Amino acid sequence: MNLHRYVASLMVGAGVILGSVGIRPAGAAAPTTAPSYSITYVPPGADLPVTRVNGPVRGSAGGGPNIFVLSPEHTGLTTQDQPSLFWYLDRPAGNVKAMLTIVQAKKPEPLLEMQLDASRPGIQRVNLASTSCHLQAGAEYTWVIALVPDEAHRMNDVTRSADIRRIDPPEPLVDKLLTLGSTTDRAVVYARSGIWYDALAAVSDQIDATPGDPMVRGLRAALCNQASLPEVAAFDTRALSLK
Amino acid sequence: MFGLAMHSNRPSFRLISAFSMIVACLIGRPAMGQTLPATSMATSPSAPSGDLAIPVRPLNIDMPLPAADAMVAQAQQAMQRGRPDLALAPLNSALELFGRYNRLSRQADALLALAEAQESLGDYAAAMGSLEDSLCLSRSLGDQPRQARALSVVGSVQTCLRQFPAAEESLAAAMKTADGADSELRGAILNNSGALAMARGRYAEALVDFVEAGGFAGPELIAAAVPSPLTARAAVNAAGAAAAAELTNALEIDQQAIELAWNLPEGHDRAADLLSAGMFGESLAARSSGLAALPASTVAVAAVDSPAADRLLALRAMNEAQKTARDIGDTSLECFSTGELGHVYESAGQLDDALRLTRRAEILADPAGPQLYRWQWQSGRILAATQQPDAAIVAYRNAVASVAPVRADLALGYGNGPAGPTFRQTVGPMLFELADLLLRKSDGLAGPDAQASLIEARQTVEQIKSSELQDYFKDDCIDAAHERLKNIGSIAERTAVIYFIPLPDRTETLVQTSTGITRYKLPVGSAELDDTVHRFRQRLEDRTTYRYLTEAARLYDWLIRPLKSQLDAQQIDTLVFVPDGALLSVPMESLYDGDKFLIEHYAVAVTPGLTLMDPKPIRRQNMQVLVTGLSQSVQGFPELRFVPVEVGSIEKIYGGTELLDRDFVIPNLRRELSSEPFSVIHIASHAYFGGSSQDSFLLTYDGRLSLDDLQRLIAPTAVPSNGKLRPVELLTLSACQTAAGDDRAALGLAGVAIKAGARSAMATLWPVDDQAEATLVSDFYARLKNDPNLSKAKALQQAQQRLMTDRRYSHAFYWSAHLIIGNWL
Repeated sequence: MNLHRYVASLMVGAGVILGSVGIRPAGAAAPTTAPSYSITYVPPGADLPVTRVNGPVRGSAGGGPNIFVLSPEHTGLTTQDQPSLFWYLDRPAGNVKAMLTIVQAKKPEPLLEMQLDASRPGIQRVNLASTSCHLQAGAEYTWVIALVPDEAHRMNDVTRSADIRRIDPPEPLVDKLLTLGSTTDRAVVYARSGIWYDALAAVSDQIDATPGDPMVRGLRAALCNQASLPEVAAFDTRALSLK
Repeated sequence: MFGLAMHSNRPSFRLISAFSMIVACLIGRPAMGQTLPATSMATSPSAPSGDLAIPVRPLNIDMPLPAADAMVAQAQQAMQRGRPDLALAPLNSALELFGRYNRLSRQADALLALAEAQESLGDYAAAMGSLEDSLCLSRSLGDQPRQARALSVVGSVQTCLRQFPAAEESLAAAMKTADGADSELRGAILNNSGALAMARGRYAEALVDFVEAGGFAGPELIAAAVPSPLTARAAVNAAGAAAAAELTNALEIDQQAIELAWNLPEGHDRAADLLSAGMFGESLAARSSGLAALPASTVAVAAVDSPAADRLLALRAMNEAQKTARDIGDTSLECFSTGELGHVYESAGQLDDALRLTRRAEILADPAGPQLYRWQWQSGRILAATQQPDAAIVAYRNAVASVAPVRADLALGYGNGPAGPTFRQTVGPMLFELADLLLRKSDGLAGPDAQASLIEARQTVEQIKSSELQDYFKDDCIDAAHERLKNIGSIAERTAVIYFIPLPDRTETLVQTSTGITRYKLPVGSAELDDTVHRFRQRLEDRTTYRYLTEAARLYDWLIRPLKSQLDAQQIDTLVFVPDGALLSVPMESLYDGDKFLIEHYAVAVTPGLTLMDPKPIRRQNMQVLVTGLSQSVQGFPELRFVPVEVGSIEKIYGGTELLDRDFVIPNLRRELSSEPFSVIHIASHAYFGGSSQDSFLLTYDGRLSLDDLQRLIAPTAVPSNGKLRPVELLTLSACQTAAGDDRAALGLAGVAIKAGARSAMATLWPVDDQAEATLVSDFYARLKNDPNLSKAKALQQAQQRLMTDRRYSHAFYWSAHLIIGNWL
């Protein structure tokens, strides 16, 4: 995509955001408790190509756990060199091994290959800061979550993948962020600016900080719905209704 | 390890040796019968009709009938001379007399003897028929021991036919029926059970059976037994089982078996047992004591004293077997033992002796029999080892000619291991060795002579392909239309046909274009190539990384880069691969030159052999298309969510008939396929290819289609107007999978078009992400329809190139699973 157009869209997004924080009513995707915030993910461009892979493979054995990568359908953005990646497991994977792999197209060796804990269902976070993996600015990567039932026959893997690109944050956005107080404010700004991964990480940080706050869970559910991940949104919504 | 099909001197008795790869075939004639259905006679109601309500015993006169008894004796003698062919006529005459004069028990015995003769001639179907008659008769007489004997032979024939569960059932029934009978009958049944266990690769279990069959107190006490056909046979078999199980006392058991067999009366059994035991002993002793020089084959072995005593004892047994066979006029066994002695000398590196013995075996061999090719092949090997390549090539050519009529039988018989010997284990090496010799020969030649040698090498490779497919599908109808294709340039411009021939020390590539054959040598042996290819396939299946690029690039450097300047010079745009072995299991289009994939430069197709295909372009007018698919989860297989989309998009392009889900059932398929000559059949359903055609199937809503079923369903139908056969142009299997790491499975896939009688197939090596698959397939059909000049290979190339530009599907897992197989035009 054209970089100029892209930066421009970020600036517009950042400009609009001020008016919306705190005063917008809950959107259609909002869960049972109306949040005092609303969040809107604005894709960093129009008609972006789909890069997320969510779908079954022919011939593979069905009935196992399902996984989703928390990403928009197009390539998501981050400003971090070691962002957090989120994925969702709908039921415990038992003895099946789960793997995270980060690769670049046509590069044989992956940047990262690590085993994940797949014993608990729910939304899982992998903070790359705990690994030696750094993303280069401007470069695009594919991250893949795989359930590996049989290491000798990887054809049977259940895989979900998404693309991620690291960008340098545009100056106006940096300035704006400095004026904002709360993590939630940041999440809303990132989402408006089309920086998916940072928005999701900020919301999740706030969920970790205030696990009992239904509002922030509602924000994450809203983000997931906006990324066509209703199954994942339902997880946060369920967590709300249990409260 | 080789052994022999055995006959006891009693017509009512049946003993078999467990060790032969090709037992019955070696000694007898080629089988005429096809594989029988695995019926178990143990449970089939086989009482004569009318005998159901009130059991009435037929009249049986238990008195001699001298004329018929003499014929049976004549048949026995023929069997003891190793001439089962000469036993048939007297037995048939005796049977008639026995029937006419109500000697029913004798008739049952004669039927059993007839079955044995038929079995050793390899005619298993006829043998089963005789056994059924014999069993019927014994049942009606209420004669349990005779029933037990018949059931025991049924079990052994079923073992030869590799119908293991049925054989087990028959032998168990035999044992049950023989309850309380004499120990010799029980021993015979146990011996056959041991042979079954051997064929299934259960060696320890087999050893227990054989020890019990011989009534030995233990494996160490065999020599103490009284020599009889049963004890000797059981002992020899025990030695073979111990050798196969790699027991340390195998040689010791074998030497006791030799001793026991030595004391048998002169006859076929003695010779056969001594030969088997000698062969086991030879290979066991060679393994332990190394290759000490053997006495010259013309010297009487007994007179020589040598430190390699174990080997000499074994050699002595083989020599004695040869002599006995000669003395009793059993030419077949004499031929076999002579050839095997030649092999012993070949292994010892004493090649003059080896060649002399082998040539003698060639002379003794029945020209139409199954032994001849083995000794011609052995001669060829020895000649090649003694640097006489031209003479070796002649010997190999003869062997190839001799094996053709008997090849189908080589997969039957008593084999060690449950899968049975495959083509690669029997005749395959011979053809590769011939190709190797021919390729080397072309080194020293130029011009037309070099071309002639290369053409013959290519023909040999083609023959490997067709034989291998026949073996996989157990279908003799798959045959090369020899040299239908003289010049590739005449059917397809700018096309190169590329043969890869992996040899132990190098890989040869033959490139056939309109200007002739060019040869390339790669100093990478088949083992290293196979390793790389298997790793490539394994990594291609892993969607999480691009590690496959390492092997994709290495294979490109090995197999394609050397050819590149020729391909460029001739402006080649389509590559047709005739891959071998492991190479069949990977998509050539995903080889990588460091920047681009092969498919970005060339359209690619695969054929198991050029002579196997009908080189006509696909008809574009009035294409009648049958589109079928299964999207729902049935029989434990997962749903295929995009199948309705795929099916719908094809229908939109071509119209035609659609059978989806509940409609995709075998009766509907049969109805549709018999009502119209379809030119394209698309099947979007799970299909699985395993190590043999029996393990391969296609899933329908209501069941599974075997490849034989598929063949019957889509066999070419005659066009009503002119009566010409019109085969299906294209069979698409869009959700196939081949077992990874199983090169035979890929062979099945590669042969599916030929097997089904279709001109070509498009199929997947592994199942693909549903959406990617639907996109690629409909794109392929649309291109085929829109451009009448586009070949199938090019339509697929364009569809694949388009799919790989989609970032989601840039991994070769998604776009390279499809193959155009057979006719690529």
